[in-house]
Formats: sequence, structure tokens, C-alpha cells
Amino acid sequence: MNAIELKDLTKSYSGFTLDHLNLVLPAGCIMGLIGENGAGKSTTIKLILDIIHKDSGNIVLFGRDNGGDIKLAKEDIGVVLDDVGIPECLTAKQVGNVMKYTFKNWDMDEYFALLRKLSLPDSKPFKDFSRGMKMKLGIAVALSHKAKLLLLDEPTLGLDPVVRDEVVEMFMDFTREEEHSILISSHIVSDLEKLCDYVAFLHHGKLLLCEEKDRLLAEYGLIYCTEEELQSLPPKAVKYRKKNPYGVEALILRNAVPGSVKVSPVGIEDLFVFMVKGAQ
Amino acid sequence: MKGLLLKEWYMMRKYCRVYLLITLVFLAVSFVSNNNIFFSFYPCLLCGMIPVNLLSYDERSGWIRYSGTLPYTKSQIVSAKYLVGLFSLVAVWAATSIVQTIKMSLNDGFVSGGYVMTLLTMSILTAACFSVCLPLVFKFGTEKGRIVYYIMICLFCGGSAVASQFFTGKLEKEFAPNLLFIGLSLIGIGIYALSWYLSIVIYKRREV
Repeated sequence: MNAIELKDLTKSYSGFTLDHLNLVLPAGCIMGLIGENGAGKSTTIKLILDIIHKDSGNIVLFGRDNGGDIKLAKEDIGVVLDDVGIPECLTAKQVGNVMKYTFKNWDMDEYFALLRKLSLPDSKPFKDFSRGMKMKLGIAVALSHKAKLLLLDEPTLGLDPVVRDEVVEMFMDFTREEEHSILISSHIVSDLEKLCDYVAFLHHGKLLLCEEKDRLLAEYGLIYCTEEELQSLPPKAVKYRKKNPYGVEALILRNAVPGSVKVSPVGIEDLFVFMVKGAQ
Repeated sequence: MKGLLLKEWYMMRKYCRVYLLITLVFLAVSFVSNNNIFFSFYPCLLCGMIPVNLLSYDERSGWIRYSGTLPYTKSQIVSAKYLVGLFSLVAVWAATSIVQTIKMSLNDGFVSGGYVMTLLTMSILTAACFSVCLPLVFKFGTEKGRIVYYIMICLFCGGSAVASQFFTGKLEKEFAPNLLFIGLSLIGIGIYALSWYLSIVIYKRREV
């Protein structure tokens, strides 16, 4: 079963259109949504949660179309937003009490265990938390009601590297359960590279690609050469090129170039930048 | 829904202490002063501000968007605010009634008719201000909604001052007290229910 299926999902604002987005997140997998500001990542997550209304298309969660009542599906979804959204005067303990009456499967023991694990005080108001602590509390809430799917909108934004690493570890732990899935959007591509099974590139509301991460990394590579050397390669091998004072940097399809060509591995971030620039 | 109400309760405890303090001061003043109806009933008007105030804190913290990710319907999110308004009004109503009843029984004996009518009228005024204001808050946000609430209070207070010049004592003569009581109650409930329904419709369409 797929955790999420988006079919021709479309949403228009003035100056922006999420354009017939098709995306499938298989159960048990982690997908990273990568895109520049305004690419449509948050819009996609809001549409999935029915916080904003789609213009057309279908959203299927856990095999069920969410055109009707999404309330039931939300019991199985843990969400972390970039600004978290917990009322500022509430303490972590009070948040737990509120969530106890919000989620049917709320596990108070698990919640307090997570608070302890994340070194979060349970009686300090949320407004006095640091950015990292706020995000950790949001994550603790998302992980304490036996969710099957996590929707994470920039959950590592503004966190220091140590906290980011802890958070990424927690997400990895979450997906050890077979049916647990994550859709995560982030600017910090290095986090997604560590975490994701699939990556989806969004650019100006359009899906540039959605592919298994390992397959992408195996499929593409970088070469650094002169213009003449690049011209000698089969045209279909060269996907994108970038000139610099020392020559040319090019993204190529590994299996389309001769074995004698020295190909360097490409990171997801470079791949994304090349594809966006290529699309432009 | 219980979770939403609990969250509102926590927030009221933190942010609405000043309302409680003002209510207590005004009730105390109304107890010791003579013929100063303003002090008795101002807390009623004040408590209409509570849901708008809570909504503005929700907006600031991002709760409006976050609550959309939780397993609540938009109707439940709106209803929590209306219930807070209702509970606050009932609480102030009850406190004012108790204070005035004690005062009346200590002074000139128990004269309930005029008092009940005035309290009811003030409650309906509060409900009306609140009822006009909340759909606008759900539509446009709290800043604009709060301005509308203040304007409504001024209009209603001014209007009722003018109306009282004409109608004091006349309504009781024209209509049987019971009929007037039932009529005013129905008007209040009707306005409140309509506003509640409108807010739900507006909030369902709103994208947060």
C-alpha cells in the first residue's frame, strides 16, 4: 500500500501554480521534497492535510481518497511545521494533556519518554524554549500518537548541526517500523540525502523528477573537463553543463559515457541545482 | 473537542487573568455603590472580548495552521471559540446575579424584574457584539475583527443609551414581562446561533 498518492494535484494562487503534481510515497519509505522558496513544497503538504483546498486532482492517503473526511486519516499523521504552532503559554506537560484528548492513540508514557530523551523541560512555557527545543517538542508530539505517516515541513530549519543530527536520527528510528513513512521538505539537502529513500524535485510548482535516491546517484555523475572534451561525448549523455573559468562542469548520465571518462559522484544538492538551472 | 477546550482553558488561565480582576473590581464597586448599573454589567461586555483575544494569540503562535493538522474538523475549531464565549458569559452572568441578589436582599428587598431585564439586555448586547465580530475575525483575522468589536460596542452602547430614553418602562407596559423575557432571550440565542453557523461556513472556506 502507498502512504500517499497524489494524482494531477493542482492549486493556483495569483503568480503561482502547483501544476498537476503526481507523486507516490510507498509505505515504509522516506521521501524528500526539495525545492527553492516558493517551489510548492509547503503548498503540497498543506493540500495533503486539507488545510488549503485543491483546485483539482486527487489525494489518496493510506489507500483512501481524502476527498471526504480527512479527520480520520489525521489520527495516523504526525505533522511538524516550520513554525511548530504550539500556543506559547503552554508547557510541554499541558501540551501532552491537550493531545491526550486530541488523538485516540495518544501515548502519554511515550511522550514523556521522548521529552526526557530530548532533554525538554515539562513545566517551562513554550515561548521560553529555544528554536531547537520548540522543534523537538513538535517532533515529540508527532511521534507520540502512533502515527504511520510523518509530514515534516522544514523540520530542521534553524537547528544547529548537533540537534539536526539528533532529529534526523529520530526520523530514521521512526521508519524502522515497516509501515511507517515520511514526507519531508527541507532546504538542507544534506539532511535529506542522509535520510531519504526517494527524492522529488519541485521547481516553480512543477515536479522536475521523483526518483529513488540511490538510483539517481548511480545514474548521474559529474565531469570536469574542457569544452572540446565535452563536445566529444555523446549529446544524450550530457544533461546539463556549467561553464567556469577553468573549463566546464557537466552533469552526465553515467551509462552513456565511455568508461575511459572520469566521472565523479554527484550529490543530491548539485543534482538539484543543475536540474533547476537546466529547467530555466 | 475536549482537547481544544482544554487548550482554551489553559490559555484563559494565562491570558485572561486581567478580565477576572476587572470583573471582580467592577462587581465589588457595583456592590458598594448605589444605582450604578454600569459597574454591574460592564464585565458582561468585557467577556465578549475573550474569544477574540484567544484567537489573536492563536494567530500569533501559528496554532491556527497547526490545529488544521490535528484530527479536528473546522466546525469543532470554530465551536470551541463560541463555547468559550458562552461559558464566559454564563460565568459573568452568574457572578453578577449572585452579587446583585445579595445586594438587593441586604438593601431594599428582592426586586428581580427590572434587574433581570437589564442583565438580559446587556447579555444580548454582548452576544450581539460578539456574534457580529467573530465571523469577521474568522474571515479577516483578529486585528480587523478587534476593531470591529470596539466599533460594535460603541454603537450598541450609544444605541442603547438613546433607546433607553424612549423605551424605559414602556416595553414593560406594552408587553407582559414573561413575553419580553422570552422574546429577548430568543433574539439573543438566534443571533448567536446564526453567527456560529456563519463562522463555521466562513472558516471552512478559509485557507490557513
